[in-house]
Amino acid sequence: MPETETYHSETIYPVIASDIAMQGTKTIDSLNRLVDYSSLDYIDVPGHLLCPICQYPFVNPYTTKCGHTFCKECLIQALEPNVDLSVECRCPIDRRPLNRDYVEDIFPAPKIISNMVNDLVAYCPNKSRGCQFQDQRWLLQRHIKDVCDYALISCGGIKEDGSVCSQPTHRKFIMEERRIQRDYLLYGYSMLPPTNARLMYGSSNIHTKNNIKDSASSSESVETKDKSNSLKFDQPSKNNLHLNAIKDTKLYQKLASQDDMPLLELQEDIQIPCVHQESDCANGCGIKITKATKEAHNNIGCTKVMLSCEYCELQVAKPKLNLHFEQCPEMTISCSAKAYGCTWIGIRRDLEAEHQSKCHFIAMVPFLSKQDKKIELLEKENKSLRYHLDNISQSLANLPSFGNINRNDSVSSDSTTYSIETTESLGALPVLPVDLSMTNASISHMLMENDRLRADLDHLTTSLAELEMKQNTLFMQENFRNQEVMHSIKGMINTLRQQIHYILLEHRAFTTNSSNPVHIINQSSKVASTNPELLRRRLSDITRQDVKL
Amino acid sequence: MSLPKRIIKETERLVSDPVPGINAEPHDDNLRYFNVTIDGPSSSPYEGGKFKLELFLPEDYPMVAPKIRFLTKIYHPNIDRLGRICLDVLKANWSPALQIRTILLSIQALLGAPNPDDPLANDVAQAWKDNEVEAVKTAQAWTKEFAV
Ligand SMILES: [Zn+2]
Ligand SMILES: [Zn+2]
Ligand SMILES: [Zn+2]
Ligand SMILES: [Zn+2]
Ligand SMILES: [Zn+2]
Ligand SMILES: [Zn+2]
Ligand SMILES: [Zn+2]
Repeated sequence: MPETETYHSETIYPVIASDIAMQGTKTIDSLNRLVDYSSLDYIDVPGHLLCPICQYPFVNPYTTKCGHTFCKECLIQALEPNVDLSVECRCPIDRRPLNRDYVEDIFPAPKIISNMVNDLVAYCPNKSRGCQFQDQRWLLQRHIKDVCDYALISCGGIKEDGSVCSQPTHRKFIMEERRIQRDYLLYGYSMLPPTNARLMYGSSNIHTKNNIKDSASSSESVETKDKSNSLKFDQPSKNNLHLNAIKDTKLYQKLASQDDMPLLELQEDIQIPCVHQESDCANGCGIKITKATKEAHNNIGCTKVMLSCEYCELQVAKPKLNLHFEQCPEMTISCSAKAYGCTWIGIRRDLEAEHQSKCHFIAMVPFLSKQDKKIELLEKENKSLRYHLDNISQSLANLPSFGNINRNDSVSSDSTTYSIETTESLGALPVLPVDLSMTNASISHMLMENDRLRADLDHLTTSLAELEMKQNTLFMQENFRNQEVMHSIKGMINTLRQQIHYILLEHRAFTTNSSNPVHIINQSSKVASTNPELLRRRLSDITRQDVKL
Repeated sequence: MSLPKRIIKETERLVSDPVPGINAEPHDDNLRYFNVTIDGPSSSPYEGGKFKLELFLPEDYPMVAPKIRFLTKIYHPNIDRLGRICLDVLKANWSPALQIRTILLSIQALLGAPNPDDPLANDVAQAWKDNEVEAVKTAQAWTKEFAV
């Protein structure tokens, strides 16, 4: 599906769904800006498609080299290096080092993942305004742009002074207006079908034509409250002007020649009056309404729309219905002392006529409500006392460790405001004198500080002793080592002395015994042949000792 | 500043599907501030105790860890007298993939397995190392006195 590919394109901008005037938004890029995927109301999302960071279905999924997937936005934020680069950025799931600037570390997730999240079904972002539509999320952009009745689009209508209105309004008001205008252009009158018929325009076209003949009877049969009624009264005059102005234009000819032209193609060309123009309510309640507010007004605000009470069948204006329910004699209610235990249920008339005089609970109501009030007051008092206590104990807990004077200040000012509050609200409550509580606080602060300093001193002394001991052992070790070295040196000196001694003996023997040069050579070579061995052994002794050191 | 959807979602889940032994409720007037109660794990010195904590989600949450501390006094080598908790996932090892729920579970686990080798309350940790039996007794006594 090539179209899907286009919709699943790179960036989705976090723009509030439909609150953009949408005239002239036709490119796919701007379509992408219409729906913020991270604020949709999804239906039934499998857990694997939720980003571990924002806990919502992926938006622009990115995968790490360790195989974990997040929204691009979330991942980039999570891998933001901190200022001094002291902490390495790691994967939020398995803590493997990642660098967000390396393409081999983080990269767009496989297409199948983005396709799967884009196929998730969600409600139209205009659900809160009344749209019940739901579809796969990548299709919602389309829906809002072309179809959604509750999308805000700019009015584009002609105001009374001739200028073009740019205020936003729900699409359905514009569409209704356009349909009316089109009908006027084509047939000279409008039979406005119910709101959603626009979607099936192609067929209703013929239907409207057939109705021309008996238009009189059909418009009479429509209920008085209906929209077609107001059309009859406030539309024709303006429209005829409008129609005359437009009658000779190419558009009119185009319309007249092409009856079956799909509505969507016509919309943009039809000029409509501004839907924000105020007019009097058709029911004669005296309130000014616009086409955009008419529906809401008729449903809740209009005092001329009468409804009959479901209990007493009295005709009551809609806004006053709730008021009537509070006194309707035929309404089923429970006893006014229900909260205190009466289980009586009946119509209001009976309550007033008989039950009220018999009910023991009702007799108790004044007393019980007084008790309730008292309890409430005590609870409030208790709460503020607890708060006060918490503050004090917290300040006590904080003082010894930080010696935080600011903290102390804020606490005592808290207690000041508190005591003022209590004198005001609770009257005769005994209140701690503010000064005393402040001195108390500072004294306890001093004591705590003292304690803290003493503890610090203790700590310092022990660590000093520890340090001394460590120093001593170090020194001793060094000493031992030096002694050993000295021993070995002593040993070496001894061997050297022995050797010198030996050489001296040889020398003496040589000078006394003979003057034969050959003998001398033999002798000295003998010395040379015995000595290396001796030397080697000594040397190896020394090296062994070195190793030991 | 509106509340991020993730916080709303986490809160909903904490209330609708609570962790056994842990209760977390957001404040009425500040939805980033939670009152938390953790039950002392069974067969730990904190058994039978109900420990109150406060939890606050900073502006940057979930990019930074929640701020959390014990309000109930507790004798534990990894919790200091201000109630601050020494737990790696609350500091250097925080990850935005962690949640309030997982953090509270870690704290519950910490109550079940004190770690005197990575102490915050130095004197308590020392006492714990020197004489564990005695330290456990103190912890039980404190639990009885402050957390029941
Ligand atoms: Zn995410
Ligand atoms: Zn990973
Ligand atoms: Zn919609
Ligand atoms: Zn307008
Ligand atoms: Zn009215
Ligand atoms: Zn009634
Ligand atoms: Zn009663």
